[in-house]
Amino acid sequence: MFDRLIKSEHQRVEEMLSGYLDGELSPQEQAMVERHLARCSDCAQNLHTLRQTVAVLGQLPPVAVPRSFAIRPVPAARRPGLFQTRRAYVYLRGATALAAILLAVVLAGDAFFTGLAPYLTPAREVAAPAAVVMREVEVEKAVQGVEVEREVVVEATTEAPVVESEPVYAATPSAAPAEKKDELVLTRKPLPTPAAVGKGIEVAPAAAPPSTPEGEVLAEAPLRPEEERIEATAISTTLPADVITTAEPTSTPTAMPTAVVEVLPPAPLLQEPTVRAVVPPSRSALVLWRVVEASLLSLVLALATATLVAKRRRGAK
Amino acid sequence: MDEKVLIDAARQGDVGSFNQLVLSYQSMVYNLAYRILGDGDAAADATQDAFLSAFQAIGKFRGGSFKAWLLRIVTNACHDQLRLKQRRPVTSLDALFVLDPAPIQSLTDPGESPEEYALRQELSKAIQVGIGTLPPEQRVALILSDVQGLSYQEIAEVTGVSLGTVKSRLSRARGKLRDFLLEQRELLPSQYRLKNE
Repeated sequence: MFDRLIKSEHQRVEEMLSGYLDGELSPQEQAMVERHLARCSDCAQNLHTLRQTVAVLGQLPPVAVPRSFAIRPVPAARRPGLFQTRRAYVYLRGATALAAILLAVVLAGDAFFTGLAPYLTPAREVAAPAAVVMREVEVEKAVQGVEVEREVVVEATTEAPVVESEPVYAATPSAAPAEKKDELVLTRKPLPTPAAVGKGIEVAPAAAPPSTPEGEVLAEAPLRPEEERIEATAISTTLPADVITTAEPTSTPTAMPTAVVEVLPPAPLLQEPTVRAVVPPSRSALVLWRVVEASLLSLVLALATATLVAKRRRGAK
Repeated sequence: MDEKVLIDAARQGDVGSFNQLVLSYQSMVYNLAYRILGDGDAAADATQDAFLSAFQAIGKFRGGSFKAWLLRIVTNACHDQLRLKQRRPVTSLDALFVLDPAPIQSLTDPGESPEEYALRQELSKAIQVGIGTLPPEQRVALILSDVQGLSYQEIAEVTGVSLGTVKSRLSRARGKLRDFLLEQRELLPSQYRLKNE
């Protein structure tokens, strides 16, 4: 029974043969192994083949080193240059896009307002040097009769539709005086339709007796949209008064001819606020605009170049 | 040059001094790696990794056996390679033809005849196949002892285990290889075949 539990001497010796070969056993262990070997041919055989195996291993030829394994100093990681990171490229790309959009907006705005020049021309020609024009008209036709007034009225009132129809430019017309006059209701609308104009024409003569002569004269003439506008406002005799509300808030239709005449002298001065309001960018503003455009363009070009550089260099670290 | 001087200089960051050490030890290191891994490329990777790690860690070397310290780094690098490439032990005879035939230099016998050289080549291949059948820990113990000639104590230092563990690993490794060689005795050149008394 105990034989199975206790490891046999044979087994123990077998495990010690390797140590015995190397002389790593204690004297007692060594003696035990030698005693066993004398009586056990299997263990003797084991020892023999083990010894051969170790000998063969010792005869293994060394393998030639394929190359030198000397280490090379790793170059210190340089901080990537200014345009060498991927992040720099992304930011530059975004900045270029933004600047380009901004430039496009500025140029579009410029083109837009430049394109509107034809529409603004009458007013500009009239309004910008409006004072001069007004005076010239006045001087040239001062001696004439009703026609003078009429023409002046027409001239004076050409601004009105522009003022009304271009709220961007217009000085905010005060509502108070206008509400008193029915005719003004029509002309206050941004772009009076032909229908409105027609109504204006029809209504005006009834509401403004003094303006009848003008109304009749004007009604006969063939109407074009611009002229309709002009004439509609011409009929509303109170319009100039409205334009120059500060000066003549209480002028009435009946007093129109006089009002118009009276209006003239101070007109240039009084017209100035609206003149300024109506005039598209002045010379200095234009120059400034051009400067802005040129700066934006150079900025876009500079950013685009930097973006391209960063694109090539990204990941090159 | 005195090894200690080189080690001290390398500890200061002197790459040139460290490379002198590399020159001294690279054959031993490469051979150990080659016998453990059985493949020239893997052995080269392990060797390079080991020397790089050694240079980076040389500040931690506290004296004692530099050889044992270095070989410990090498065996770790070999274990990494084994894990990485999941190299299975080469067991079949076919493996003999697949094994990377690393050029063998005969250091000991310049007068060796071509026939003898060829025989040694054959032996090397056969042994390598047998070693490949062993589990990694036994493989390392066997090679360190019987190929590299390290003592039990040095092996314990390199592998980081007790003397008793070294003895038992070595005993089992030798027994297995012996059995393999007996089974496959045709693999060995006749003069190397194990003979019964």
